Amino acid sequence: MKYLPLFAFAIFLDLLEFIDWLIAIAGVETVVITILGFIIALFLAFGGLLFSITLLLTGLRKEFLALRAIIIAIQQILEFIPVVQALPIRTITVWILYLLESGVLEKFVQRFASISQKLMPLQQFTPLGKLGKVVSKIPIVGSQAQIINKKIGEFTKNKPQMVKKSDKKPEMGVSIVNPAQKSTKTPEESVPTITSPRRLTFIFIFLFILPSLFVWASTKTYFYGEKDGNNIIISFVVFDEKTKKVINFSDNTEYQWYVPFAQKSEKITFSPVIFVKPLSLNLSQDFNISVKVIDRKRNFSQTFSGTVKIPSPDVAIIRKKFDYFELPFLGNIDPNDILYPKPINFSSQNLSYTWELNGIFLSNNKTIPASLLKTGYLGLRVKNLNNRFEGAFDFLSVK
Amino acid sequence: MPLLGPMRSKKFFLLGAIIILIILLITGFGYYSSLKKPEEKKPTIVEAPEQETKPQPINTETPVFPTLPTEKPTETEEIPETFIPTSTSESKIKKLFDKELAYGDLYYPYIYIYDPQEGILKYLNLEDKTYKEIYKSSNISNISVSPTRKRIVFVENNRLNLLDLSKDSFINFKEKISSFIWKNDELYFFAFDNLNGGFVGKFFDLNKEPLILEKLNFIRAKLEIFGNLLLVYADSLNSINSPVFALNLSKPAGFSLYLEPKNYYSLISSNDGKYLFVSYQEDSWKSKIIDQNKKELIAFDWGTLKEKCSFVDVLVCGVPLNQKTDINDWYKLKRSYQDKIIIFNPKTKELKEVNLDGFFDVIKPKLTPIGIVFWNRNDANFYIVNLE
Repeated sequence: MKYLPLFAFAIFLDLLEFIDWLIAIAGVETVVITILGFIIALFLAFGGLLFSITLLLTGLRKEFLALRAIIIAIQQILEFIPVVQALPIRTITVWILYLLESGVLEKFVQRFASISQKLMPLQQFTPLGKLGKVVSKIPIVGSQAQIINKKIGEFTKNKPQMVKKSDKKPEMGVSIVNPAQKSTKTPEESVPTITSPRRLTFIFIFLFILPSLFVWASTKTYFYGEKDGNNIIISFVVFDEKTKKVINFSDNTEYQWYVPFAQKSEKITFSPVIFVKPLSLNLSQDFNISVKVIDRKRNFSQTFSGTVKIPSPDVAIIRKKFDYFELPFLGNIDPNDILYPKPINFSSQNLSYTWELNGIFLSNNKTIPASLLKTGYLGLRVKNLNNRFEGAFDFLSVK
Repeated sequence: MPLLGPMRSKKFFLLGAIIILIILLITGFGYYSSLKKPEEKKPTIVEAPEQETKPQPINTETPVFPTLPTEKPTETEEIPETFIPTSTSESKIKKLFDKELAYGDLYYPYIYIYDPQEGILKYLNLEDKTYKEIYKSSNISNISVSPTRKRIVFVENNRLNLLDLSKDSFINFKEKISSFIWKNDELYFFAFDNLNGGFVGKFFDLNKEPLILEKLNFIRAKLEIFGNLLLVYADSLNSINSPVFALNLSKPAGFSLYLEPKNYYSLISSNDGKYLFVSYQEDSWKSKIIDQNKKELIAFDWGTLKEKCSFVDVLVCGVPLNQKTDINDWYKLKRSYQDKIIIFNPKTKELKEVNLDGFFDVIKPKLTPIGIVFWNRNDANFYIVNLE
């Protein structure tokens, strides 16, 4: 055991070294996402393990151990099935165990048995007979359990009998504590119940917070932005890394956008697209954005966030033929050529053009004849007269 | 915690440490496996096979055909210092026509062209030198012909039109279509609607509205059909890095991930739907050919663009000599490429490299019985490369 701290220290150092290596080969962003994935996976693995053990031992009675183990095993198997795992299996498992411990399930079996007994002759009701046989083999204790075992035994022996409600309280075991009733047991004697605040908090954490974190970590969101005049169009694609599928939301899904760079930062749409008027005209950077998706049809609500990059303005010096072909200008002077600017991603058409040759002003016209050119560097500056932040430059060598 | 006494805490701690170690080992092994490159097979250089496509009879009209120049055709432009000089003889490359024409498609012996001076869309028979006029308009672009040659789409006045030659019908699409692809006579397209977002659709029946297949909220996307899959990825002008999503056309039930996100994807599928050429940037430009099981057939240490390739039995690509030029600068017409041509036969794994003497920015090269025909984006002329 004395090697244990050294072992932990070695793991820690190896982990640091591993992260350092990852940063070198994959970049900080990828590593952060990977580590986050690690932590969540680890948390989920530990949490899941802890949850299963706690579930197995909560209100433990030997007689219930086998049944509990079967239920938990089924839960574990279901958690491994890709689509089924998304269902609240843990919640259902806890609920079933709670019903079992509290005696509600027993009462239900009793009531069901009495109703079915009334409705049809028992010898024709084979499934219940089989169920009765199976259930009767499960060792249930307590006065109620004895009655149930007895009654089920009677069922299988084809001797229908009305089930009487027992006046006796259970001799031992877990039950729902009624706040109005005072427990006569000493704290040492009291058995932990499923309603204990600590357990409830614990269950809450693992049932609700962890799955949410896991869902968040298992999706990837891609945001796309494009200029449309003075507005910006933003759309997004959500991809589920678990199922490897693109998530498509229902038609009436509500999208609550939070776009910090928009004049109206919060907006609701009913399609996965938003048009925003930017707060600042300077859009040459990446912007953080988030959208809360409320798909009521599928009972789904999740916030997705990420960055959106608006394509920057740019310009190319081109030549045209027959006023049809747009061809790149390769720098070779053909006196018949007329050079044009090809502006891209400007928010307006109100642009100014400045042609320069070797840094000396040449023209402010939109186009220039190639016959004006000499050997050197040809430059073209384009500015948006409606937005001082939008400008672009292209240059090339002329031969 | 009642469940975790001191002994149990230690056990849990030990268990946790073991789990961390296992995860680290598995992840490390995963990374190591992903970094390990498969051994590249060096293909031998052979002559690529010729196409066996036989022309169908057509109704020919005026047998006036643009003349093929006999004198030295190529205006070879000075090669920038950054490019590697090539050594192929000049006589192997000739202009196909004596005037600038826009490229539609080539299904040998038929070549679909648009003459902007005449304002006529027509097809020419390269064997018997006849032609037929199809459509007259002063400004059409982005011409594409269906593999059956029954339908043609083109952009006119910023709208996509479809011309059905078999039924003499004309359709004008209302959707804001940014890209499209043919599967026989079915036209699959990507459109972005300002109200509803992005979606892929299909058009087949002239009397019906286009069918919306599935929503995919890109703003601009590129498409490729690979067997029964419709592959969709973001246009690099909108987003450089993109995953490739696939929609099963026989059972459309949502898009699933087909290829992990990478920069500047370019995909082109073989005509039989067996192979997919994938080009992307990862530190440097790379490419590979995969089969339908995503098994890698071959990997190349060069990359190229979808617009520069065709894959009819054999892969024919114009490959930029300078692999470091910004790809989006090429799309914006800011920069140009000087290309060589690569021909690869996936069945025999044989590869041929054709160096071009001159400054050719190769678009849609196609292997024909008369040689490789391509359109040069630098001068808007068609060229033919003799492979003998």
